[in-house]
Amino acid sequence: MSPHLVLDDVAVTRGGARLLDGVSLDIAGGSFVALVGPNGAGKTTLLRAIAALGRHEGRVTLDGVAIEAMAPRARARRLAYLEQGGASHWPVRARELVALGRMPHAAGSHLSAADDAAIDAALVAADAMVFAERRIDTLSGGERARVLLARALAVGAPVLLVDEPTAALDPRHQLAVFDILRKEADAGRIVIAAIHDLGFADRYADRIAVLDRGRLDAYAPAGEALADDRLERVFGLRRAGEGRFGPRWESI
Amino acid sequence: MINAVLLILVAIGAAASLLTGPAPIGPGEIVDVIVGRADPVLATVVLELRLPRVLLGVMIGATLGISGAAMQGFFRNPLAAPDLLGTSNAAAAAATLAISLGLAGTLSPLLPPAAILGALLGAVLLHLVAGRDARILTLVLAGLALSSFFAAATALSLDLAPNPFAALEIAFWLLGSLAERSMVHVAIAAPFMALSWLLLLAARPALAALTLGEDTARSLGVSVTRTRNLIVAGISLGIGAAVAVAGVIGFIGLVVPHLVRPLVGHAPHRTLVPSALAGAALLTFADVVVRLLPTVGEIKLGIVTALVGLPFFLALLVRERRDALAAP
Repeated sequence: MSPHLVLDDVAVTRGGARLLDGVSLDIAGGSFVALVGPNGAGKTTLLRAIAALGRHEGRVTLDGVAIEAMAPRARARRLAYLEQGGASHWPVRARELVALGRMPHAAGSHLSAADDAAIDAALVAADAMVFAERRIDTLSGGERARVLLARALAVGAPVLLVDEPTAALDPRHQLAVFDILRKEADAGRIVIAAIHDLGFADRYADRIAVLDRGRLDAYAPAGEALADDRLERVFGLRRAGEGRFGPRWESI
Repeated sequence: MINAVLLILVAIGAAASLLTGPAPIGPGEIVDVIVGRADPVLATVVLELRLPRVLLGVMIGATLGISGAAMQGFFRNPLAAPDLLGTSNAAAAAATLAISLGLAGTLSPLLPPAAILGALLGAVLLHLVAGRDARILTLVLAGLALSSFFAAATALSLDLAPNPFAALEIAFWLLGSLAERSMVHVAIAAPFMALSWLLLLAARPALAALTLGEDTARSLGVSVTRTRNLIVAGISLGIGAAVAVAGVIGFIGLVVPHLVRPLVGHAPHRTLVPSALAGAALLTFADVVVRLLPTVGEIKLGIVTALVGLPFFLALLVRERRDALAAP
């Protein structure tokens, strides 16, 4: 069944500050939604609200069921969350870290054949199989990021929430990660990714949600969401010609 | 496999402990006691003087080991241990107060509950002060502050003791020892320790998930609040009971998980059982050593574990720091 995620008037207040205000979104399965906005616009806050990781007002429903009403394990099977700059606190083997993604499915610490298959598939998808048996502390930053992505993929959830998945990666692996996320969306899942690079957002996402100081400024295909006047207003950016790698920007 | 090897070590330690003491008793005589062929005096020495000591060494060592492993896993912090973070001192302060006020004697079944309440107070305070996602430094400083506070509270309680001899007796008892303990001590401590092990073992899946940090663990369906409650309750029950019958025995809880961790691939949930076994073996052997040393009085076990444990821990620390620097 294709997932259907609806956010209705979602707001988050922390210490008197309105971090998120009146965000409503309707996302169908098969969509890759890029969450863009300047630092502090509320991208991470929104992802955490969808993942039920912090208190929020308004409603988030998945297939008509409020996410807060779901049992934690049931919710964990449906929403996979990859946090920004995540890390392993112990130097375990990469495969073992990926296996944690099966926790919402597994009974105890026993992994079924289906779990093993999902772990292998996730390792292959994230191009991390080569170093699956190595300790995480012996891997490079880029390799570690791919292992953590594989961990999120291993959940096999219909909704994948990823926060800045490419921050530590070189250009080739950035592309590889976005290819993976695109493929996940094409397989019918919902992918919501907070992305800083507007070029990647433009190229890979079906729709772009532009956040500006906690409010949803646009939720539209790239052409409309990343129009020049909005870039100027929200990001303080102005086109300054074309470079070898696309448009050149200058700050206003 | 590792557990089997450690279990054999525990058995060897226990056997050595049964054979150690002022009266020369050989393996054959121990067997005689077990099958009921020995004379009553020999049986009394083995069953009422040496056996409680063996049992307490195993139980308390296991409790210290599993507590250290659980705390380090929960805080994702290799410097966590009940004695370093103030829990043991809190238990000691409460036990001392209970004795000084005449509420409980050192053989009273009321002493473990008193020490458990103290440990609980210490553990809850630690979580309130350090918070859940405590950095290493915050946690260690909070632990240091609590340890010092409860050490002062213990000293104050000693002043409330009915007479100087009682105060001296309590002070010696606090130093940590298994000498002259009876089956009564085993009986009043065992139920609490068993419950503590069960609670801490129940936290294992959550400890595995916490490898990825609190947010990701929660996104995997783990309740961090439930895990914290399991850890606080488990540590308080185990450490409270241990301190009530044997005083404060340091460094086992800190060092043992470090020894075990490389053998189980560093996964926090897999360190619990081996840490319990290794703690049991280590404490039992240490208790044999204090009896073999040619000193006038028996050296307190807590002093030996501190003297051996501290340099060992410093060496571990230096190695960890070097590894951290070498990591990309």
